[in-house]
Amino acid sequence: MMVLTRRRLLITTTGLPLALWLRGVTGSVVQQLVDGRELSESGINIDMPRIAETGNSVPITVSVDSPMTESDYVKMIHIIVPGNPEKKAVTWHLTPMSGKAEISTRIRLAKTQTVRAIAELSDNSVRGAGVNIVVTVGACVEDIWTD
Amino acid sequence: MDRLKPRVKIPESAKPDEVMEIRTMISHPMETGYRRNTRGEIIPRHIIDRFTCEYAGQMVFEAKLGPGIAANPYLSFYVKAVSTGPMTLTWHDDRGESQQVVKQVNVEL
Repeated sequence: MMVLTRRRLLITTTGLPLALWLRGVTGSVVQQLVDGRELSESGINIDMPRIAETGNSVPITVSVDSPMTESDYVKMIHIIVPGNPEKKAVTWHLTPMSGKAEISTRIRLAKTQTVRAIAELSDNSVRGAGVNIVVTVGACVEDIWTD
Repeated sequence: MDRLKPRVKIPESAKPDEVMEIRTMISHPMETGYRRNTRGEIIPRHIIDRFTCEYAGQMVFEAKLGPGIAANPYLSFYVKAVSTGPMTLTWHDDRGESQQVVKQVNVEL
């Protein structure tokens, strides 16, 4: 049974997730990218494991629904990792010649965090998605023995 | 960058307008610049910061990478087949070095 709490009521009735999303830790990076435009949460998907035993190399695939034609295509996709020392992991520049807006790579995650993808389209619209990834052992900041 | 040995998978042939999957991986430490050695000194950053794919006389795909990309960067993406010719993949690092792979793509019905 779903318990109706004040929070759930607010979230389900007011589109609050988006507002929280923008105000969160990622706020400044995401806001910079979104630049006052309306952020849509549909037509974009992040595919990655929800639990990463090590943050050293976590596979991620981002796909955006788009015909990828001269008049309607995805121009850029950014991956934002708010829990890392540098919040932007990568920016991909696509063209109508991409044919399909789907890209895979492997990222580092310093700790448990919500990984975001932001897509900028040729009609100047923006889409965003986020998934929470639990990281057992983080990457990036550990010391190494070199001598 | 002689230790960089890119591995790529590009279809040798494709039909016109076929969307080809391009898969790449290059050997590189992607040293973040945030780690310290046992003497407490920062290990200098050394990353691949840019990747490009040129085909049919234009830049069809480009990536700007940060230290958040895992060591030995893997990248897969798509390119639409339009004409027979070379596809050029180039990796640039932040020390001004680069590595290139050129593969022929045959496009025919």
